[in-house]
Amino acid sequence: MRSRRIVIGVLLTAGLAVGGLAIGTIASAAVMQSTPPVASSSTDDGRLQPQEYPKNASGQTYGSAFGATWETIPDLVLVITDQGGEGFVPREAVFVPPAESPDAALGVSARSEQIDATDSDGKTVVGTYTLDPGTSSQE
Amino acid sequence: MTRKRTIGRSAIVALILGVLVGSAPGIAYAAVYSPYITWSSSPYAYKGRSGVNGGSGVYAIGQVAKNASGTVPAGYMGAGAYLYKQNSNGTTFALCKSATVTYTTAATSLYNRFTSGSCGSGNYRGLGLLYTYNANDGLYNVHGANNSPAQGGS
Repeated sequence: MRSRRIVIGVLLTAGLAVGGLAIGTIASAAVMQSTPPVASSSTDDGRLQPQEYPKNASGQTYGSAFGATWETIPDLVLVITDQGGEGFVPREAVFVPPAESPDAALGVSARSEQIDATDSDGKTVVGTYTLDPGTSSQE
Repeated sequence: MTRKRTIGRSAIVALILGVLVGSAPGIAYAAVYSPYITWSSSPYAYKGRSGVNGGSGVYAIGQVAKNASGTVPAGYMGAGAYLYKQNSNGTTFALCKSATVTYTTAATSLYNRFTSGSCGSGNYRGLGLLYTYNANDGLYNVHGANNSPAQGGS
């Protein structure tokens, strides 16, 4: 009886180890494979680089804000809409200008409104984009 | 003989059970961060970074902290967190979730802002947009931290 328990215990442990190792290997390979090529707007170490954006007929720049600096964020920012497609929203809607003072900052609350997402023309509505109230913590 | 068979059967069951339990999904992801950037907004020095926590329930982190011991007054630090997802052809990242800036509400040394929700399965990166008050000119300085490394998530 005792030897039976030992055998079962050893094999259970071995099974856990083999299973965990296999999944760990698969997961690690998946993460390595999934590491994307860095966007052209960003260097390999993730530093931000200015980039050129196309302009629409209204003269608004548009594109992904990924890799942009505060100064170079395009007028229309590429988003994934609530409907799962791609669209553009005004930069001020998502990259909010700072408060006017620390006192005013205390009154700033998380935003969660839904805004229209447009085509790159800035006019044709293609869906909606909802701001994420998110969460925060302070220490 | 019967006892040996029973042990053998139990052993096989234990092995299979072990493999199944060991293979169960539930891979623990830890947040990965960009290197810190540092700057000064008079009279304090700050540091900040972006993070992303992959796996199920992926989220981005924007983190700003005083770059020394002690705290800064309420409202002096703020952060927004942005979760980007790589598009299907792998050429760029589109903004998936935007947790716009909120500020500290008490004297504090570190502030984190997190997104919630995702845009389905894919590769994600986080970006922190960090706001610090400069008492010299009475304005906020806004710094985009470096992009976080990519992580798979959903």
